[in-house]
Amino acid sequence: MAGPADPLLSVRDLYTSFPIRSAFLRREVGRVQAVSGVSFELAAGRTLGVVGESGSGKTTLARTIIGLERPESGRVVFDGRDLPDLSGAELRRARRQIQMIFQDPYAALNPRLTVAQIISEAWAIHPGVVPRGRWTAEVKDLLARVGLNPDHADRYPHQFSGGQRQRVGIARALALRPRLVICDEAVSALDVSVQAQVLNLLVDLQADLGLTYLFIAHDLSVVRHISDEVVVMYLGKVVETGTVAQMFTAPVHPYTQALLSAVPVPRPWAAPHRQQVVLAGDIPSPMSPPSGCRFRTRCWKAQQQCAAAEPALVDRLAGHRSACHFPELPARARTAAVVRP
Amino acid sequence: MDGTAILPATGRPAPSRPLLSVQDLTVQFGTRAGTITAVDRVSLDVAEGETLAVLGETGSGKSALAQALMGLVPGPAGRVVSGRINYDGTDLLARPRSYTRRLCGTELAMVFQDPLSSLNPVLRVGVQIGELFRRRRGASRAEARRKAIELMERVGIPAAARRVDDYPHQFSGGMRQRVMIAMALALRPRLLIADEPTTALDVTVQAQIMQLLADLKAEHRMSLILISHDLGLVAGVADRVMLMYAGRVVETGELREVYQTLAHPYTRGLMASIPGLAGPRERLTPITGSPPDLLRLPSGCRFRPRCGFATEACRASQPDLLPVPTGPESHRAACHHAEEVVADGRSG
Amino acid sequence: MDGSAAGMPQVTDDGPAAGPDDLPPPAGRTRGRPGGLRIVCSLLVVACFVVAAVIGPILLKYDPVATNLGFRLKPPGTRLPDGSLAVFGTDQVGQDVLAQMMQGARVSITVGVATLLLAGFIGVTVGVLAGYFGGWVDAVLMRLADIQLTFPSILLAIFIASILGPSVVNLVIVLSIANWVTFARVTRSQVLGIKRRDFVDATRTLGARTWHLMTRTILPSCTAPIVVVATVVLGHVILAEASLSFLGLGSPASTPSWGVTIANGRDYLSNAWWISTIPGIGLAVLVISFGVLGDALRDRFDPRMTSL
Repeated sequence: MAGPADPLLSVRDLYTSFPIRSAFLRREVGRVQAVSGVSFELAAGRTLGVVGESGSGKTTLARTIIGLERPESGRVVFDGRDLPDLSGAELRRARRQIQMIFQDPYAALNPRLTVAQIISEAWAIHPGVVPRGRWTAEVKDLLARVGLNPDHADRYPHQFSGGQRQRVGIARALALRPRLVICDEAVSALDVSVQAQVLNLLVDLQADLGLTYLFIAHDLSVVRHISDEVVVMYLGKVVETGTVAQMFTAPVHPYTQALLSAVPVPRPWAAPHRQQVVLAGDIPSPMSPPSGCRFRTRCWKAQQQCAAAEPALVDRLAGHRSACHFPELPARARTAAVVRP
Repeated sequence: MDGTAILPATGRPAPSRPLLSVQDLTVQFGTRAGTITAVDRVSLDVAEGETLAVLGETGSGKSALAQALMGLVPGPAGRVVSGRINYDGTDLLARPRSYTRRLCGTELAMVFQDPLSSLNPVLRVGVQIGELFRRRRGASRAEARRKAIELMERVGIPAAARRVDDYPHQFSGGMRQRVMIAMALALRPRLLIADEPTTALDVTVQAQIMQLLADLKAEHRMSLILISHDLGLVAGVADRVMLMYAGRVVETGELREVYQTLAHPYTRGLMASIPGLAGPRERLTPITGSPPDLLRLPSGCRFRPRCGFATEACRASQPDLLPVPTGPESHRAACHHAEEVVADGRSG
Repeated sequence: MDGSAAGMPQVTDDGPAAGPDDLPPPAGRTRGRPGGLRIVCSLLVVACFVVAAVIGPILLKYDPVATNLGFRLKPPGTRLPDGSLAVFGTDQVGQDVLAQMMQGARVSITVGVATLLLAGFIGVTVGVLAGYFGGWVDAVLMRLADIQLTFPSILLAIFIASILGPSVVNLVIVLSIANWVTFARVTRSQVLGIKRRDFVDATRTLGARTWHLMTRTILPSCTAPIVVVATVVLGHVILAEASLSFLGLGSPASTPSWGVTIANGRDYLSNAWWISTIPGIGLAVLVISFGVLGDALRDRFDPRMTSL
């Protein structure tokens, strides 16, 4: 059993890859390294935001932690136990405590089941969590908790709007009373007014149930709103990590700076000191990542050294770590030069 | 009849007449469950060289509006029921569709949300761009290819001379959108309609595309209608904004004026729903409820069931789009309590 | 998102959307759906045949060994010595063709349904296993299906009939072997599409075992196309049964299936056309009905399905 000082989730040097198959005979001709050497810790009751563009490996990271993908190597330690080592019933018991909220509220609910069936499916799979006689009452409780009308338990997903479906998805994730909830772009597909409702709901649920969130998103303002700590990923690697305050007031990695400056803000005139970094080009294919620092092909600071050696994730100040050969000191980063390549 | 007010072009030294002037446009779609009015008596003006942002959430009617402007309302379910679309002095709705078709490309052009489904997957992009020159300008094959490369370079596609022979699937999402923009701009249209041009793209690529659109607009003195759900995205590019809710215009005016002095509770709710990138992290104050079902619209003001300012007056009648009492003439809101909303925003 | 199909008005994308407490009443079942008339008509025809097969032989006794040589080859509408009317005439041994057809419908429909169940069970099982597990399981099972497809079912029928002798059970076995592949292929392609869907992943993250995923989550989502395939296959099977019986490889002569009746009437086509023609028309009507029903069901449930 984990002591109070131990993190609830600890990911160490995690690698996940997918085979690339040839069109002919489907032979494996190589591997895409979607997650390559990611480590972080997440304390109980906290929220860790994971940000990055598509292709950064953030979704694969989430799927590996929850067991939808098999890691190539590395450890996923949940509550003091290494998940890939567990087997059978033990693994199922551990997995019960990790649940996931999916991005697409339309695809994540089985269209053939009613909301009550969707939520209670978890209890059919894990007998003993909720006795069958209590299912109806428990479904109603959960629906009320996520802000839906409990009388709508017998309706089908298509009878709900996108935001309401996402609430059903949240209710399902809560059915097994998990300790860790992975939100994979859980609010990205929602209209902004509905997104704010769901964000508030997630915050309330965390306070009420003591949940721990791994919050994966590409929207930095949403991540800043909900997270305690943030991990920025680029092509399968962590490039910068720290607390929200550290990351958003003084980002030190060029990629984080670029991401932050690209976030559209409604009143740009009110923030005249915002950096204007418009990155050139796209994220390279994870099938053939650049040598050395993976960000160097889009980085305005890149030198010879960046192509030669991969920068390590180094602590710059009080847990604020970045992987860059030319780091700015966190204190100075605020006045970083305005760059427009 | 309400909502008939014709907007002045802009607050700036106005050109003689707007390039595009839409009056009382109504678009309906027939569904099995009944007829829905996707666009309900919408009026707008766009001046030469001006950028108008049309903002709204799912179901607001912003995309149906764009389809109507381009003569692309999918029939027979959808049809333009009434209104006028005056383009450069000609009412497009009074002319046959083929007239609008002829204008497409040379006068009007459109960029869609999903570039992959808008490009022909089995034709090289160079051929697709060049075809415009061949068909509309009678250019030779070699000439069209040269023009295609030129355009691809202009929209920032690296190694254009080599990539001109690639197929759409060989491009990334951002590059495909650049190809779409190149095609839209090929014949130098005077008005570009961009329908959620960056929604499918990553934030860094989104910034690139917006930058490109802004540059191109300035370069060609082109008018731009930018349709989006993202209030922040258009802030750097648009001159004026128009917010739509359930098919109606709820607020319109100079972008900065509207964003600073929120006169409609819906606009205010949207603003409050966006988490900030700076400042203290406060609890969001989102709009309650969901957008209405267009088949079962509430009586009076359509935003009433979700509105904190709603009174009996809001139930009784639909508010007209009227100038906001304290603001400039161009800032209009369709709210019975606009003055109250503005005052409340100032004190809060 | 799948709701973004071209031509769809954007406003319908968000469906019924109202406040949490004022959801509109359940919609979706009330809208008119494609193929309604075709489904009703073809179902009516099929129902007629089923009723005739079930009730007919009770009302109109048919004895396969009885002969009534005095009344052989009588045209439709002849009154028989026992006072009954031979609506479809009599055959070469004086048997009532209608009675024979109704008895034959029993055989045909029994063979069809039994084959459907057996072939469907094998095919769906193989399809689910191949689609779900992929890899070598998929490769082995699907190569097996390919081999099956290259082997003409007539040849197989001759082979089995010559070893085991013609019987209804053997007929069902032969036809099942010939038809499971269709089920396997359709099921496999469905499973391949569905197993990557988010809601399956969601069930997986709840801790569901493979058995639960296959039988409770994936299989129910494949039913519509399987039903469509079953309808079409049923028509094929009934036709195949008649063909095999016609050739003497199917049901034995003592079991008067349609194929047997048609074959018997072959020698009398010039002077007693009705013996072969009327059962032939009946067969055609039934098979066409199943074809129309399958098409209509496909249009309703799965407009994009092109696997048939």
